[in-house]
Amino acid sequence: MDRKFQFLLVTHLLGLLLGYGVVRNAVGHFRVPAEGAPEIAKTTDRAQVSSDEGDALLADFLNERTGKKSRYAELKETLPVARDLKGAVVSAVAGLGGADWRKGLTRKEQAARCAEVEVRVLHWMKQNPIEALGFVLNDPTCEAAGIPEMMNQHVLIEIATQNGVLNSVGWLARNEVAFGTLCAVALNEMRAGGGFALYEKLAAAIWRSPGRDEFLEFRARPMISENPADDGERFLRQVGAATRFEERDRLLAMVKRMSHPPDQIDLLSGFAGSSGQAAEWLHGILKSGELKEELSGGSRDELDLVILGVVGLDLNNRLEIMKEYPGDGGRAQQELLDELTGEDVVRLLESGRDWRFEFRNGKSTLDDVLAAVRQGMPPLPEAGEEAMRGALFRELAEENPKKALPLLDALPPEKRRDVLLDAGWLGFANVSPDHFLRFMAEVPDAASPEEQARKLKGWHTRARADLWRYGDDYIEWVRRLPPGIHREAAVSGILLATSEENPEQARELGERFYPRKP
Amino acid sequence: MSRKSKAILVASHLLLFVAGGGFAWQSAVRGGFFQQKPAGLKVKSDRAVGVIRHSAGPWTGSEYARAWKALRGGIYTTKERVRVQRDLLEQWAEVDLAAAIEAALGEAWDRDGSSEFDPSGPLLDVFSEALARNPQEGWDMIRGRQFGVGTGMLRRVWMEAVGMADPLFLANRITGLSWRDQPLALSLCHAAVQSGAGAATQAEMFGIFAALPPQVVSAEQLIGFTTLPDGPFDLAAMKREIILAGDDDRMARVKAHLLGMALAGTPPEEIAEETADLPPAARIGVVWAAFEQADTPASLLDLADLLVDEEAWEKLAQPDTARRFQEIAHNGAARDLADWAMTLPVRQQTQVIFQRAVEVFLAGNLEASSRWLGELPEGVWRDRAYAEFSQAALHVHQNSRASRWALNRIGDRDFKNEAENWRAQWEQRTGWTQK
Repeated sequence: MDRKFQFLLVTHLLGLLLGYGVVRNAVGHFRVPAEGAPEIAKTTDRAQVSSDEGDALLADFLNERTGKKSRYAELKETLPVARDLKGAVVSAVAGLGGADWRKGLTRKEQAARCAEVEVRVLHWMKQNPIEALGFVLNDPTCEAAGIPEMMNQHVLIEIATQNGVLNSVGWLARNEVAFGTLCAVALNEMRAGGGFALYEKLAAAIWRSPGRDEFLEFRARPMISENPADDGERFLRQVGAATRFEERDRLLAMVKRMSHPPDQIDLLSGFAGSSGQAAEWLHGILKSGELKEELSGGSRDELDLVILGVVGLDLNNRLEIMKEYPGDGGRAQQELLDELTGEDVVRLLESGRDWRFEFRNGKSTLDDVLAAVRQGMPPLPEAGEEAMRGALFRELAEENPKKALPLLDALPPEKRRDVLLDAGWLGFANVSPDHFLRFMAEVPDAASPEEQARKLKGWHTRARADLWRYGDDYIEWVRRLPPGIHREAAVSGILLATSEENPEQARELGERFYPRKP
Repeated sequence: MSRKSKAILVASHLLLFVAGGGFAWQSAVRGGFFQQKPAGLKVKSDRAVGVIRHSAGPWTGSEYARAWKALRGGIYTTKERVRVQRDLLEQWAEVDLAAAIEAALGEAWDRDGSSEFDPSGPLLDVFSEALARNPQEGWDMIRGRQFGVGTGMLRRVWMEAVGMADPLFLANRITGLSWRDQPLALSLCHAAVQSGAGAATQAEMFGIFAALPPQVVSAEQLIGFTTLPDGPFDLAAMKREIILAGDDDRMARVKAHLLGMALAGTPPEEIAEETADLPPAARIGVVWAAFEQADTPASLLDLADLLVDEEAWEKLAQPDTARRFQEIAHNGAARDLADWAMTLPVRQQTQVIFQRAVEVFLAGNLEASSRWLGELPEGVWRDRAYAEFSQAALHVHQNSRASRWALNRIGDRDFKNEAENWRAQWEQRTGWTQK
């Protein structure tokens, strides 16, 4: 072959490869990392946590999510009010295309499709809410197309907010469809300044309403939505929580007038949970026996539990309640303090700012979280410091054990060892096995059979729950672990948990993990 | 070399350079680099020049991924963060389900306030709709353990979503599930049948499950999928089959149930006659099926008598029986049921049945029930009835005096002590003190 031709062939090939390499490299540069577990959970530095592009996209998403850019918001601005309000609703509903109009549509598509119906109903309700809602609730076509439930999304809440809940009871308290809106708007107005006085007026208005009995049943149930992050608290508990401290006597008077103990407990416990001051007040009332007639022993215990959970209440008061609580009488002061402190740490992390998420992703440091916990807790006696650090470690080790370890530096060596040896079975419920393994790698080697048993207890506790949750995928996960002490402990956990449930399957698994030599 | 040749050479090299780049791009996109559908190719130019498209149209997978990642830089409450994540994931799943699941699994797997046995954490159930829309896609993910150990949580979400949307699909995959998951799959299919999946689906499921061994699907589970065949029912042939198969056979028990369904509404004495020559377990199966279908208090109690004759204590002590008793008691037959309870033979196994049969009547009107108590013959059941009356007086009416009246009339000293203990527990719990 001609040398010149060979040379040209090589240079052309090089050109091809160069082009491939350059683009591949550029693509890699822009590549979005795979968000798979467990790699994704690696913590990043503060500087890495977001990018301008991502921030802009997220802002866009959040705007749309809050309805600012929804089809409904758009039509509300642009759709002219029809002369025939009812006719416009009827034709918009007909336009959906029958009872199964949702079929095959995603939730977002459904929301866009029904936006016109919502706006048409909104127009009518602005003129005559009782007539408009009455039509939507009673018209068979509307019912078949699920229009009544759809109204809760925007329309009812907008009209009730605009007119005020007391002016809207007439139509809100007529049908269960609107009860959720009634509660939500009432709570908003209470918090915005209406306070308990507003609730008293509302309760009187509902009492006179034809939907009274249905509403009483409704309010006895947790207010739930499809979103599991919602509180799901019962209405009266939220009313109690929205009551200002100065209104405590009015609240107490209403509790005394009530005849249904669960309602009394809801109001009182919601109120007591709202602040340390409120909890202290209720604690005093309960001690004085003022509510003895109204509350049975069981109700009293329930309220004591609520008071115990109020981090803002003086620690000594809470310890006093603990000592008097059935079953807790003979326990040592230190044990009670440790328990209460540990529970407070969990309560603080589970309410308010998402410190664990920030810690996991590098947005907040260990010092940030520690400072926030200290700030959120009542002044802690020195005797509670170890328990606080131990509990916080258990929480944060689930996110990143290595980064949480310095928390234990302030503890005496034997206490530090105790926390590490026991965290495996005290915590890590519903946590990825990869994270658990990463934590167990930080636990020191056992120095005695007793310590070995504590480590094993972690693996065995996890195996029961993990087999239930992940099923055979957990077995496969363990099978792929590298040989060593963790694998052995995990296998023994699997065999033990399975033998409790199905001895035959446990035998088969035993043979899979430890095949007999031929 | 002429200028023309040089130009050709430069052009040909450049052409191959561009072609190489093109291959690289295509392979990146095919390999899921951007986790997006081919339609998202438009992103290429956006990315290359650093342009962000803000809601100009549907988002691509990589745009969701970036917004998801940006969340980590914000400050939220846990609840708000979970809400935003769920909304993002739900929409992301419409574009790229696998990438959205991977992202969800990259988050914490625990839900605040949940027990040790929380099936799937705070995020994964958001994929229910997408999984229900395309059961096969989810099934392939599960079978391939696409997401490592976290696939286990997804499997539960998938089973629940598909169990509602396409229960037959789930039924057809049951042999591909582990023994740990099969009971849940069966109960989801059963729930679908109970909420009206239709006779054809039910029959098809029965066929699928009947083909599985009894260790996987028990007779009781299979019975939940039985339907009476259309048209005339050959009772005699069915009875012959049951007798031939014997009492231990799963299908014999299923057929006994069918026979009972077919005989429902027939006078109890005829049912007794029809079943006389069947093996004992099959006889109980037939009567039980008829009992479940009984639509009047009188027929229900007559069939309960047949179950007593068969000494079917286990059946009579079941929660289902208690539920049926409650139904008729609340519909006007509370006294009849209490009278029936007094006819029960006295033995250990019938105590709980007795208690369930008298509780509604005794808890009703204290005056009427105390009159009834006064008419009862002495004996174990009368003592038990007094004790139950005391419990109802305390727990339903908070009437300690009525309770004391009843307790003082219990004849058997040992049993009286036991009943006094029940009351003592109430006193302790409520803080009751004698006024």
